[in-house]
Amino acid sequence: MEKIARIDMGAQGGPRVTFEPVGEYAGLGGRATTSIMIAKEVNPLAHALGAENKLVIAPGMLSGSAGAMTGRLSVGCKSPLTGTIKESNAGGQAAQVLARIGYAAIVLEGKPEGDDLYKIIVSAEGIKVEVDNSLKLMDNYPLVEKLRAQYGDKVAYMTIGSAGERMLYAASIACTDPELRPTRHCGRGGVGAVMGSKKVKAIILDDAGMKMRPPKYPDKFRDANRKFVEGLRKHPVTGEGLPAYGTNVLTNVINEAGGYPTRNFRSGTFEGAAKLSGEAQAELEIKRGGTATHGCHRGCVIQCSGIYNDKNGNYLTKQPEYETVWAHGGHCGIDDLDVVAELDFLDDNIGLDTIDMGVAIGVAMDAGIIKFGDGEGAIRLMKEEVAKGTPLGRLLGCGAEITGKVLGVEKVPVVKGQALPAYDPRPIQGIGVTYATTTMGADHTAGYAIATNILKSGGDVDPLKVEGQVELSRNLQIATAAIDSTGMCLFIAFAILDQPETFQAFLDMLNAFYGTELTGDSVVELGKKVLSAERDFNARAGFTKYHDRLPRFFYTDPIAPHNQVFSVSDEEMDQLYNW
Amino acid sequence: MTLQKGSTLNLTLGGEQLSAFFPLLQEGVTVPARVGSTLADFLGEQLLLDTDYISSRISTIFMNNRPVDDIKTVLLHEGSVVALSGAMPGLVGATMRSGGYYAALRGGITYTDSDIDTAIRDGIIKLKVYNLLLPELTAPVLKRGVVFCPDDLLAFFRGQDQEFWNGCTDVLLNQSEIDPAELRSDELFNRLSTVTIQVKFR
Repeated sequence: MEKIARIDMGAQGGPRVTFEPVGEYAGLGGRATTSIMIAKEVNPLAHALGAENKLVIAPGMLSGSAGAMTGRLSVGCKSPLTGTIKESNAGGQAAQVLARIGYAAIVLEGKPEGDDLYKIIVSAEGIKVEVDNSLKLMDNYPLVEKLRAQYGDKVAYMTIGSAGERMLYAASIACTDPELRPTRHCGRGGVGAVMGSKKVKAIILDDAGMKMRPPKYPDKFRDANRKFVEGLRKHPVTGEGLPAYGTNVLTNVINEAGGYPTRNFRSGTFEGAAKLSGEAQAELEIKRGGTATHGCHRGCVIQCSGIYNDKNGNYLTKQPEYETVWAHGGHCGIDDLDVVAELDFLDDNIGLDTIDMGVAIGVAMDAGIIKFGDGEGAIRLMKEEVAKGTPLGRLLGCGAEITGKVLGVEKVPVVKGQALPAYDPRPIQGIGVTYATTTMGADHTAGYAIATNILKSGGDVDPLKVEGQVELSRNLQIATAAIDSTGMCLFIAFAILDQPETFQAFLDMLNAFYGTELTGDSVVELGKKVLSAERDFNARAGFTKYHDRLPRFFYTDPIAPHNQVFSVSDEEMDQLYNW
Repeated sequence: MTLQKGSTLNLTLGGEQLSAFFPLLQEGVTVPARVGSTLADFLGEQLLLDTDYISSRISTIFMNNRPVDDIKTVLLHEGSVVALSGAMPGLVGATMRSGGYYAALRGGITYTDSDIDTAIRDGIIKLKVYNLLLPELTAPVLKRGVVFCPDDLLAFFRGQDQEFWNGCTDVLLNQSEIDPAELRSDELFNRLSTVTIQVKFR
């Protein structure tokens, strides 16, 4: 990963590719690369779909190595959905392949005139940018099939569906999984719309002739990786729960806690939760000849994904994640896993963030477009409106906030324009702090890396004192920003939380690979550096502390069964970035 | 034969039939309990679970929709709803852990018991079991006994496939042997109040 490729899509005479050494971005990866580059190079007041915005695609620090769990790819830009800086990451094969080809980042710049649509082929021989108007308005599954006929199966594909081409604000970028299905998405924030604005339909990553990235100290790296894998396998979450049920194992538990937002956040429990649960989903997948245990990229040892077949035993979609099942399920009052799975497929195919799409449909239900619980209606909205780009479909595809505004809905669950994920912040107040204050808009993964007790990034916190919520959220966001930079899947956090030796193995992998002497403090500093860059960008884009708030109804409307409102004070939340 | 109030049904099933009960335990089953005793006592002394198992595997516990941090201080009440889960992914999953590092993030809903009535007596509670604990706790819960209303029990039996019935032997109703086929008949269940089912897995 010694070089950066810049592709000026708006260059006179057609797209122009230039190469440069990593320079000031050396030693970074993933989110650190995308956020620091965007903060430095993009005018925060630029329009997200304009020529001034850039789309930075960066593998993590350990991507392309033999290290386990290192397949996360970060994509960064100014977000059309939120107006803030955005980093959205995904699994799949793209990070590993791009890193092996040798790129620390590929940067799409400028904006072409005219209607031509482009594909970009990245290989060891260089980068080619070609017009291919035969791909116009194709959705991801048929698009990848068409590309496979030309470029084969030994590559990775990054694509946008019709949503990205139409520059819908909830559009995603799909990355293919090991079976070359477009199932892993940089979903949040409308990164697909930015790729669409630059008229790039597909990026083909071909690492033929390239080998895994070698560590500086191979023996130490191998030993650390072995210990790291052992730690993941022995932990009940990463070694048992996630492989058996996937992330949807959370449905029953969050519902039990009264934190499962139901029918557009009107209740904290859903009577149909058991039908949507990970336990029910896994049983159905296995019964139909699919699987509940599957890795989204090679080198994954957690295997939290799966294959969801239809009633006839034919592939329908990958195993929907917890947040997807919630957004299309309980949030919309739908308790049918087959409906949720079809909606998940449609999101992946059209190229949309499952969270913002599900929440937008729930908001549309609140507006009376269709009724809560109307699964067939939800599928029809996706197939007949969003996929066809009708006016109603376009506003739905621009996410919950725009849907709510256009349809006159008062209670729209968004922060900085991005839909809240599947955890109600009234009973679980700490997650509300993260939703409100993250640089990304409401995002459960922004405060996900639950290793802060080891990192002690903000000192010790008494876990049973309510007063610690802001401090905990701060520490979580710092740790997450750092892990997002390594290319590691965030799910490693569980093993790191409970097993100090696994955290040490994680640090040892980084140090053996780069010949560094990183400590927990170094990780904290990296996280702070990333967050500071993101916060600075947002400030220059016009965001203030007054944007770090939840929608008003969370402060005024109690939710059953606990009948609580969100009660963390503004003054407390304003302390989050004081470090 | 008809069921009388307080009837007991004993079944012997093959181990492969264990999963037939998973949906019931997810939804919640009624079990006898010594109300007034602690949750720790219920798990250890009544369900007869090993202390190490409780601390290492049952990492997420709810009482009446509220996460529990210390099972030794939580008292069971008549009709309490107790839910048991393994370790959960995600920040919120970690947040729900009993006594976990991130418990503060859900401090407002943490279970606190203000009831000082400590008289211990026989009663019933509703018990839910989730995820990784289903294969591990279904047998001990069913061995001890689960209380059903007859309609629910009949619906459960009628929902089972032939494989279930092939593995079903030694059916005793109030200590008298009956034909397993009777468990799908209205006649058996149509005059009763409750029945306690106890299952032994081969």
